[in-house]
Amino acid sequence: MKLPRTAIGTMTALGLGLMTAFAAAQTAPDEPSYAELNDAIITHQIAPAHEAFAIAAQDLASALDGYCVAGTGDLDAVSDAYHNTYDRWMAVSWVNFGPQSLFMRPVRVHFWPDSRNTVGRQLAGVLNEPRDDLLDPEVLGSASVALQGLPALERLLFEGDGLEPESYTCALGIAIAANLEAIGADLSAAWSDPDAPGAALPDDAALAVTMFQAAFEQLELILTRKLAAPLGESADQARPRLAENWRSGRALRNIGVNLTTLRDLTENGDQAGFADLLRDAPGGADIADRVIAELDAAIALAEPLRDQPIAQLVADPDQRADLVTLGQHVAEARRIWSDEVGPALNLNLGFNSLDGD
Amino acid sequence: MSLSRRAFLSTAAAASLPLRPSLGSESDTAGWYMSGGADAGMTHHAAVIDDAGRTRLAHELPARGHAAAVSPDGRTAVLCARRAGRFVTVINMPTLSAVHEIAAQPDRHFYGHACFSADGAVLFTTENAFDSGDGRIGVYDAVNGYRRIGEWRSHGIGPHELVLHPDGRTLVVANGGILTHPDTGREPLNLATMAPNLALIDSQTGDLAHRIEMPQTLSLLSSRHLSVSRDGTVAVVMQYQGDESATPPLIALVNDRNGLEFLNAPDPVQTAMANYCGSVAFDRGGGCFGVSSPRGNLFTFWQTDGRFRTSVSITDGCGIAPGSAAGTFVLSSGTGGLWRFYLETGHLQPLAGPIAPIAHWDNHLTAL
Repeated sequence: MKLPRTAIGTMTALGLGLMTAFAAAQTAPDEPSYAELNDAIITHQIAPAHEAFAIAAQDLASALDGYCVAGTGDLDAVSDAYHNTYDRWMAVSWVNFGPQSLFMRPVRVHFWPDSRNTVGRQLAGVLNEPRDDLLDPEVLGSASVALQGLPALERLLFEGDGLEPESYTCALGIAIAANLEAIGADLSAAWSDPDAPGAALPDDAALAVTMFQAAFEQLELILTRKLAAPLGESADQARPRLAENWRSGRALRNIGVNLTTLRDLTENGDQAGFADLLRDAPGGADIADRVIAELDAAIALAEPLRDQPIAQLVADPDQRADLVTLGQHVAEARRIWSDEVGPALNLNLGFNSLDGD
Repeated sequence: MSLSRRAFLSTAAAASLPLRPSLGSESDTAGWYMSGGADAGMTHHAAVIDDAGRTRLAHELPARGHAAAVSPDGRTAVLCARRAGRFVTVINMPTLSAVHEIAAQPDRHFYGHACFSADGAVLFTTENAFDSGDGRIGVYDAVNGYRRIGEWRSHGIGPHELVLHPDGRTLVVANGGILTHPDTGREPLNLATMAPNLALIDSQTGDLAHRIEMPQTLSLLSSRHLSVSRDGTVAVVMQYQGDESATPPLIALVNDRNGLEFLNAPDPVQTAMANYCGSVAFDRGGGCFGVSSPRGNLFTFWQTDGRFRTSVSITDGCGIAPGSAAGTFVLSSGTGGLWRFYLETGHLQPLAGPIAPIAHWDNHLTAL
C-alpha cells in the first residue's frame, strides 16, 4: 500500500505539464463552439445550481426563524437546512468568475481556509460582548467577512452548547442565514441574466478558458487543501482540523459534491459539457473517457465516506488508504485536465500565472 | 446569453479593421494603455489599447515582452523584453509606430522594466551583468537614438521594476534578490543567500541614497514590483520562494525610510494570493492601490494607510493600471479580458473592444 507521503509527492509534483499547454495550437474549436459550451454550462448548470443555493439559504433562514423565534421548528430541521445549504454551495464553489468576482461573495459565504482561526476569534469577541447592530443582515453583510457566512454558523450549531431559542446566538444565526439568503439571491439573479453588466463576464473565448481553469483549480484545491493537508505524511502526523467543515462532519461530503459537479461539467447526460467539445477534437474522445473515469472512480470512493468524521478517516489504516487512492484519482484527473484536455481544446492555462515574473 | 454578446462582438469587429489611424493623422493617446500580449497563435506584440478597450496597435515583437514605460510628455513609450530578453522596442505614440529597437549589450540582458527621467531625456532599464550576477541600471539617451550613455549598480541582485519617485530625481528600484544566468535560463541560483532590497538611487549621479533591506526572516520574499503614489508612498509586492504551506505577507508599504510595513489580507484571501504578486498600481488620486495575484486569479485593493478594502477574482488577472478617475483601475487577464473596476461601488465593467489580435494580455498594463 502506498502511504500518503507518496500520494502527496505525486500531488504536488504534477502541474508542470501546464507549461506544454501553449505548444499545441492544433485544430481548435472556433468562437461559436466556445459560445455554445459557455451557454450550455451557464444555462443548464451554473444558473440552476445558484437558484438551488438561493432557495436553500432561504429555507435555512426560515428553519432558524422557526426554531429560534416562533418556537415551531426543531434543531434537526435547522441542521438539515444547514447541510442542504452547504451541499448547494459546494456545487457552485468551483465558480470564481462572473458575479462571483465581485463583493467578495464567495469568501463571505465560505470563509476557508482559516488557519489563523479568524472565524473563532471574531465570533468569540461578538458572543462575549453581543453587538445588536450585527443582527441586522445588512450591517452583518458589511461587517468582517469571517462572521458573515456558513463557517460562523457551523460553529454556532456544532460547537459549545449549541443554539438556545431566544438567545443572542440564535439571533446571530438568523442574521447570518439572512445574509446568505441575500448573497444567494444576488448571485442567482446575476447568473439568470449573464448578459447584464453585473455579471462581469468576459467574451466567449476568454470565458471558456476561465471556466476550464476554474475547474482545474477546484481539482487542485480538493487535492492539496481538502485531502493532502489533513492526511499529513502519516497517521501520526495527520491534521484533521485542517480539513474543511470537520466540525459538522462534512469533509468528504464536500469533496463528493465538488467532484460530482466537475463530472457534470464534463459530461452530464444529454447536456453539453467539455466532453462534447472534446469528442469533436482529434483524439479527444479518449481523453474525455479517461478524465470521466478518474472522476467517477474518485466519486465512488468519496460517497461511502461522506458522513464519516475526518479525524477517524485519517487515522484508520483502511480508510486512510481509501483517501490516498481518492487523492490519486483526483491527481490523475487534474493531470489529464491540464496536459490533455487543455491542449486538445486550445484552452491555455496560466499565461501570467506560470510566467514567474 | 451570448446572442446579444455575440451580436455586439461582430458589430464591433467590423468597426475595428483599421487598427492604425490613416497615414499622417496623429492620435491623442492620453488615457490609453500599453501592454504586451500574445495573439491566439502565440505571437507576441506590443499593444496600445484605447480607453474603451479597443486595441489600436499590435506591433509584433521579436519575443515575449514584459512591461511598458511612457515618457512624461506621453509622446514616447517603450516595451521591454521579458526577463533574459535582449530588446527594448520604442514606439512613437502620436503615429502609433515603432521607431527604434534598443539591443542589449553583449554581456547584459534586460529584466523587463524601464522608466524615463523627469524631463524625458533619459531612459533607465534594469539589466543583469550576468558574468558577475550584479544588478545594473542601464542609462540611455532618449533624445539621441537611445545611445547607451552609462550604467550604474542597482545595489542588489535581480533588479526588476524601477520607478521614478515624484521628487523627480530618485529612482526606486526593486532588487528581487534572485540570481539567474542565461546559461541556466530563469532558474534561481542563490535561494540560500537571497537578500532582496529596495534601493533609492539618485537618477542624476547613480549614487545610492538609501537601501531598505528585506528582514532576514523574510529573505525568500522576492520584492519584484512596485508603484509610487503622488505623495511618495511606495507599495512593493513580493513573490515568495519558500515552502508553499507558509503564508508570509506579500505586500509592504514604505512611508518613510525606516523600513517596510507589511500588510495582510483576511486569511482566505491571503491564502488565495498563492504567495505570488504580479503587479501593483496606485490609483490617480493616490488614496488606494491594487495588487494582482495571477496564481490566485485575484486582485486585492488596499487603502494607502494599509487597510485591506476588497478583492476581485479574475482568472489569470495580472495587469493593473490606474483608471482616469480616482478610485478606478483597469485590469487585464492572460485569458484576454479587460475590465474597468470601481473601488467605491465594487463594480467591474468588462471593456469589450473589437475582436483584437491579442488573446492573452501579459503581466503589466501601463497608463499612457
